[in-house]
Amino acid sequence: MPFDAKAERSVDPRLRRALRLVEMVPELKLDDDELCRAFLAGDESAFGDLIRRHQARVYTVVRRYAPDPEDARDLTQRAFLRAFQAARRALSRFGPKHSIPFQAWLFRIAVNLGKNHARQERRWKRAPISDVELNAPSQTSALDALVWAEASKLVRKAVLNLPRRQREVFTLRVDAELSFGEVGSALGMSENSAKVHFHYAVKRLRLVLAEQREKEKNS
Amino acid sequence: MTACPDFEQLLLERASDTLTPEQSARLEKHLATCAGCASEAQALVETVALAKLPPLTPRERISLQGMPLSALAAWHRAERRTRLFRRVGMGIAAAAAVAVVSVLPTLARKGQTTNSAVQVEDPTVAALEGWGADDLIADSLADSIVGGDVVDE
Repeated sequence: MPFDAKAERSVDPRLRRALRLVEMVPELKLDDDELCRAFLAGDESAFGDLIRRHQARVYTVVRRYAPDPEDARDLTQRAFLRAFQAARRALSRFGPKHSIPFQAWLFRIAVNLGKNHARQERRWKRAPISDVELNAPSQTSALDALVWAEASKLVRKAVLNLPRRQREVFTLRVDAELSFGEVGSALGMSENSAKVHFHYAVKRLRLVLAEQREKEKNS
Repeated sequence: MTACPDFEQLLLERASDTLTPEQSARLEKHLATCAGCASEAQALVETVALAKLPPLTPRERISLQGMPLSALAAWHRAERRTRLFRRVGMGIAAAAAVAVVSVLPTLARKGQTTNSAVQVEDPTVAALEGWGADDLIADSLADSIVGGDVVDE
């Protein structure tokens, strides 16, 4: 609609001031719980907002287990749908006042879906780790990049072979960049337990790397 | 060369990037003077870096941009499927109810027929018993008559 100065002047000045104030208020940022409730109440834009907020991190978590981008995308979408279904079930079972820890549920579901996918991949004798692009740091020589790539492949494989709890904590901390408190709430453990599992995981990976380097030195 | 046991925990937290500014300052001060801890710190950071996945490719980012819409479509599909299953389930339940309602009177009639057969059977048995009893009486009469006859003879 074109700007009409005359019409604008005819608006009550008090209303004009109020409108200006409303425009100055930054967009209200709803939390996950509110967005999830809004969607389940019929607001479809809340669904998109919630997905956009978490999709990259969920995708990164499942990509650890499903290196094929199509698989990872499919698992990410399924994780969101299941989290929404879980929220709806919880609200219908425990009443509308029940809290929805959407992020915790979402990442727990994502880890489980990823783990199941990796198990199926292993059953079909596909090597998931070899398909992932290698993450060599920039500004390195070709030889350094190759050495880095080999070491990275080894460590990533070792991540998948970590004990379950250590692997889950490590993945959520490193891939999803959740805080230890958030990791603990997603996996149903305390923040300290999450820290301990992470430290054991790093120690184990460090040992794997050290052993490999020792072998290479000897050969 | 090994790390100092007092700093082992902080070294791991440094690798996980969760140190507070105060902890970080204390540790960095120590690392400047301790070769063992410095070497361990570097190894731990390298291990975590090696385990990290590469950043998303442009193709993956584009693919993710369409996710809100595709996920919403998938949600609606799943909802429609659930509604359909629910309707089919309700239809089956209704059909079962109708079948039960239509079969019940027949079953009830059959039950009544069986009961009446039993009821019919009862007097028959009684009649038979009566008949038997009659016969016994007749027999005893006959016996007495025959006996009488014999006596008479």
